[in-house]
Amino acid sequence: MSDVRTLALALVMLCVSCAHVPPLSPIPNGRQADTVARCRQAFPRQPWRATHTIFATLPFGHNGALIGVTAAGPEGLHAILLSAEGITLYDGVQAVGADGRAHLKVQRAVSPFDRPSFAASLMADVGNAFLPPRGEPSDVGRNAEGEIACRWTPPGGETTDIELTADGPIRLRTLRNLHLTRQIEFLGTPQEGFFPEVRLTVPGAGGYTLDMTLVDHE
Amino acid sequence: MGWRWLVAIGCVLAAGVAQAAPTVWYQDWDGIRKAAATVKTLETSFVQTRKLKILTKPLVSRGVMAYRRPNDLRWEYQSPLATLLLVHGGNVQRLIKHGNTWVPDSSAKLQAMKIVLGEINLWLDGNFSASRTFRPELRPAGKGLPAHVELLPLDPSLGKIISRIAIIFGERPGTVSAIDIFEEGEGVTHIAFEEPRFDMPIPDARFEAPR
Repeated sequence: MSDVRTLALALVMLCVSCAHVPPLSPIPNGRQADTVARCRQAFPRQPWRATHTIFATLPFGHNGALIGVTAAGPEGLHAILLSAEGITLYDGVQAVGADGRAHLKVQRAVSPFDRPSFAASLMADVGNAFLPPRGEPSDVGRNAEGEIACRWTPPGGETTDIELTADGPIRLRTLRNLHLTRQIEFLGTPQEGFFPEVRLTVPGAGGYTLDMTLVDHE
Repeated sequence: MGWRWLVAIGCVLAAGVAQAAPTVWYQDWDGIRKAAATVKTLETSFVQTRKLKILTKPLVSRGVMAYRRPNDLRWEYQSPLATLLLVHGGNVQRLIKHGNTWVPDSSAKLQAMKIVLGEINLWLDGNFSASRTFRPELRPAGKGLPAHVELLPLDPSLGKIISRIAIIFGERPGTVSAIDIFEEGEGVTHIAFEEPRFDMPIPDARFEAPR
């Protein structure tokens, strides 16, 4: 009996791992290029530099606040976290190497920001919020909620959907299999690709929310 | 022989002039403590400037500070990141403004900054030598630098975060005009105090959490 249950569980797990995000419904061909251009409006044109305040809502009712300074350009993505007092807590640069892979160089990190998992998560959060997905979208159409979206599905990677309203980009969602791994909401009217507020939510037991308020950009 | 007398007289006169020069209040630790004790309350605004290589413009933060002898302190950043440190009746509170509400800062905040902020009362008391965290060195004005106290971390692990702090004296006895916090490497945070008001009554509410 136990073998049957194990087999059933394995089949369920297999199905989940093979599950795909529901496909987008097609939109008229003539609107695709315009839709992709509007999806790209979610991100500032490189090179850029920006300063945000960050309010973090953490598990178990904890809160924290930091200043984030980010820059993106040919040298890669540079992220610095400062305390309110101006002390550098984390300073890292992520660049794509000749092998096409992202390489992270942590230039400074003080406890508790010196954990390798923290650096990787931070760069993923910043990259998702401020850098467009690489390459062209694999699909453009309407999602199950009826919103027009652009979808990137790199082989073996997470699916990224950028969702649009009539006013422009409103949300970015990343999914692995059928699970939402990260949601980014673009709030307010953007200036040169910078939204006044960006809210990033990572769901789950160890999840958190980052409310990022634009202070300045260059 | 006559010229030697002239030299001797010249030396005596020069010594007299030197002795007549006004003594500064920050000449020694005792003088600093006595001068600091004359300041009963202080309220001031401050501008904090942090230069970063990746930014063409420095990051500027503004705030206010209130101090009431012996141990009450309000250290408030008003922009761009609104945070509040309150020390009152032996209790320390850190708050962050989220929307229109102040909420407790419960993050695993940088321990080093807790230490530094915990030291501010000692600095305002002129009691630098009582610190268990920093070794103070009194530096007279010279080489283009104003007179200041240099604080060097005693714990090497703290030194990896903050290499030294310079407390720059103000003109009025017992006061500080600026603080420079040096990180290991090139990072410097400069805090300049502006429009200080001394010995005005400050109500308890200034040192209590906003409701």
